[in-house]
Amino acid sequence: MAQEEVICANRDCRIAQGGKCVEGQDDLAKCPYYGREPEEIDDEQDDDSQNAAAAFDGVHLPDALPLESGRADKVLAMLPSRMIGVIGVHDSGKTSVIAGLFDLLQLGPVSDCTFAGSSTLHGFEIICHDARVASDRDEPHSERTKRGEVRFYHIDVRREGALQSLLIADRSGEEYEEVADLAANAIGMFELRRADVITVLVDGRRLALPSDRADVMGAIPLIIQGMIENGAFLRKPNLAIVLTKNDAVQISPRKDRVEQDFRALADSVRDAFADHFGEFGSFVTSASPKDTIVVRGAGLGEMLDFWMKPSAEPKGARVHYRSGRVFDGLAIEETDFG
Amino acid sequence: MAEGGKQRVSISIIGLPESGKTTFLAALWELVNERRIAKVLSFDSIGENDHSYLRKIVTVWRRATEQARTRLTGLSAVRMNLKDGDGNVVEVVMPDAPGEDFRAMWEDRELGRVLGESLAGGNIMLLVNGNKIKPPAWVTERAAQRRATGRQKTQALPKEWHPSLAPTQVQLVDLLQLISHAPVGRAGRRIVVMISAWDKVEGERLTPDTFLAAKLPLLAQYLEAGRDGWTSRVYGVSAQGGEYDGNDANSEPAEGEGPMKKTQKRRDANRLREVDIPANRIRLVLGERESNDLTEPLQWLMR
Repeated sequence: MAQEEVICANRDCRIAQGGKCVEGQDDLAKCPYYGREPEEIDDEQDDDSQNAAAAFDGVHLPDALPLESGRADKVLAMLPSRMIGVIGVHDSGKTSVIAGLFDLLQLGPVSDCTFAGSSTLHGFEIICHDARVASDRDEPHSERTKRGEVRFYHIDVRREGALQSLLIADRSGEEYEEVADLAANAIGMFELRRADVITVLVDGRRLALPSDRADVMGAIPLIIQGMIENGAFLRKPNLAIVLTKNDAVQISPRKDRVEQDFRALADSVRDAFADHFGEFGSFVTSASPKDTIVVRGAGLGEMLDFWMKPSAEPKGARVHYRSGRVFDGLAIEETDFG
Repeated sequence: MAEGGKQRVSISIIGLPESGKTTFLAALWELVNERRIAKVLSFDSIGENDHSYLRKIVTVWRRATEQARTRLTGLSAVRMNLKDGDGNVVEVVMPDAPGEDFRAMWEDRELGRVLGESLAGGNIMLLVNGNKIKPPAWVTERAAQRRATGRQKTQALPKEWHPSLAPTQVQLVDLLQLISHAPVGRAGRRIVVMISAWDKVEGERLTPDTFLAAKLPLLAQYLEAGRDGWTSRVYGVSAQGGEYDGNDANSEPAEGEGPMKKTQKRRDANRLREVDIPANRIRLVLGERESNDLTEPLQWLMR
């Protein structure tokens, strides 16, 4: 029988050379790249870049953009680490929470965490930019995370004398929303299976709008349910429920109602999904306020403290080796092999 | 590295454009050659070293005139044969690279081979212009300030992000991270953070250490956290002693820059020219202590 040619659209994947799937998929049918031809590269553009590279006598330094999973693997291997999954529908303030945390560290240590380094400084600066004076904007803005592969923001901190890495996963809000439509959409979200803490964002501005309130309250449990059905939380991560945009809540005439709704939502999520998570925490934040009525970054320190809190040991057995990726060393057995 | 009984020490002076690297070198060369002032390290011999670059920059310094931008002169190899109080001779190698080369590391993620080789080993002196620190600033707080003072914002289209817009401390952390790891350098080195233009910032009554923590908290945390093994000291330096006259060479428009700067006569320059021993213009601050001995941080970096 003729051997079928192994092809993969991801140029970084070496599965054709007998390597492993770089996406970490044991079932190759689930890999979005396996079996597809790589896209053509513009030859002219390639020639230009090769000429420029040939003329440069020096070292090309690593970029400082958010990490794709391969580079995140390397970071995970260097220090004890905490992986954070941040789930929120589009425009719920996900990027602002990540940017706000970095901005807070620019002012000093946060919640006993001293900044020790980051390999994604360009990435942080890009997402901080539209709230900064340098952007020349009239009010802070936050760019929507584009659809595509999950990316990781990286911060190393020293806390209680020990160095630790924090990897914060960033994926478009639309992709998380689609889990409520079809639970199977959660299958590829490997960052959630490896997360030590899942952080669910509740958009305070929308919760204050009578027209959106019910949708905000209803969508979140469905997204979590979809993820659970696909084994996203088998490690029993801790769960943080975070109210974002508290500045909008504080100026709303419905402020008290919003606070009551948020408490009710946090309680119902905790009660409904208690078996699937370790510790619960709820936080009220204003990461990138549009009004000085609240303090910039309020609530993020407490959230970071919760992120860094060690998780309870997962109940499942650890898999010692599957695909050779560090991520998989952190995963727990997800299927019954017996 | 020992060579014929002489120890060779490599110290890299790094910093963003206009951080005062060349002025520091000029003041150092003036000081080590000044026999009337006691210091930890002094001039030993010319040896085989080419001192033409040092002579050129020290002449400019003595005239109380700003140094020409190193961008115009390129990377210069600086070597000094110095001796300590016990007569031990050390050859100090301190390449003076344009600040633009360090800026390119942050912005373009590129590092030239020659500069890369000089950053690979040895200890580091990081120059930071205390008067030109760009802190992070936010739209919301700025708008509130404008409302309080009744000022209007100039109408402008939103600006796209560019690495040059990043706060000074972010750029410096990135620079130190890059030289602490492959493919550039290694971790576990000594570093002196030299806050230059100290005469302009000392009015805030901070020591150099507290100035670093207050004005560059991200950098201060990064050094303190010790991930990359830096052993650090923070000095304040006024290597000029005050405001110098402008340098005509710097007034020539460079590619991509704005209109010509007018050369400005600094009112301090004449006063400084009257100081009997020019090296006495120099001021160095460590903690609460002040001296003019620029060789002290150098000696600390040699350990």
